[in-house]
Amino acid sequence: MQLINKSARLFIEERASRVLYWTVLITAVAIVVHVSSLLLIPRFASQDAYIRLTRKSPETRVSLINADSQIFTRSDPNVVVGACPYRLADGPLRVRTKPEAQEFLSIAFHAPDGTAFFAVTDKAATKNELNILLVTQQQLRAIESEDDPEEPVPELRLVAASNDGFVVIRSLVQRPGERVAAEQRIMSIVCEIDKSEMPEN
Amino acid sequence: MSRAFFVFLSMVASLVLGLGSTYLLADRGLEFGVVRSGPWVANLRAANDPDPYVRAHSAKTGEIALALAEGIRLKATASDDGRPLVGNCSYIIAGNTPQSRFWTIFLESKDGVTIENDIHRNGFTSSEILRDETGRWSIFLNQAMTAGNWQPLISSDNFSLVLNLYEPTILGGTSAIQRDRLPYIKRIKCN
Repeated sequence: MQLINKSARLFIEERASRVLYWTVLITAVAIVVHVSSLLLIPRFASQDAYIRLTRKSPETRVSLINADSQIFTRSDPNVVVGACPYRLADGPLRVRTKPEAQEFLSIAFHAPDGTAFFAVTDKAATKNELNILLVTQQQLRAIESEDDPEEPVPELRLVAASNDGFVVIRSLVQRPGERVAAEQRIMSIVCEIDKSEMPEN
Repeated sequence: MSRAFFVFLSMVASLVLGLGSTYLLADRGLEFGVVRSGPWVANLRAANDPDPYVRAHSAKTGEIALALAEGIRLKATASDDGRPLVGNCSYIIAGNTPQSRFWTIFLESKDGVTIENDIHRNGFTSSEILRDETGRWSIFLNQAMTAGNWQPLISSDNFSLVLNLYEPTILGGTSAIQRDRLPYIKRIKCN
């Protein structure tokens, strides 16, 4: 009788350890698959903001995007949003505007994966102007080599986190009826490749 | 059952579990590293330093998060008593907002899309909202028209409330979203 009990216990223990072994194995492989696929999604995504933007408007210029559900489905309905994709391989990017007093305006620079690496609001304007030159490290060196040391630098020079990306501009519609004015504020912003900043080779 | 077949089944189970969890979490986003205050939830790192779940979610939806220098986005999917926000109930939102240059409050569907209605009213800004003589405000969320700051609810579906703080005075710290500085969401009744 004791012998039967012992062999039954051994059988159950063996089964339990097998189940545990396979459970741990399946869980471990599932975790590896989960983490790998999670990290790979941004690399292979066909729907991220940069791809949506460049698919519609590949040129470097400002376009309104919150009215376009194909590009930008989630946004504050009280804010007008503009975007401007860029490729610094074509030259430095100039973003310039004269903000209006008491009208919220923000300019954020994003890498293609959506990470914001710099943002300012209208409060950062000097002499009532926001004038930003987005450059690569190489372009910055070339531009600085041609700077006149006696002259103050006329713009904020910003080294981009990546050669491609997009600028997002937000303007608050403070009251109903002010949407058109907010849209005009955004559309009046200069966002273009500034070839004049490319030193002669 | 042969061992090879058992190994094959285990690998299929691992793949289904791994890819399935990725799909679900990239779709819904994982509230990983978020700051909570009552029903309000904020991810202060969503734009400037997103975690892999936020990156995957943005890659799938095209969402462009607010950079910290622009503002903070807070979202609530439940009232203060913890019950989900649904369109066939009525609510009062009132109280404080953290100090910021401007704020907006509006509704989103459960899929995160802004909700349209016939009177083109989705939310309020700090500049336009009607206030009492002490400067306090309250918003009525209701299907029936209500005097004051009325936000119509048009369906009985679940929804979310979003509070965007533009240029908040305190950036990045949790003190910006202390409970007593945020509006309360009180459920009044349901149809």
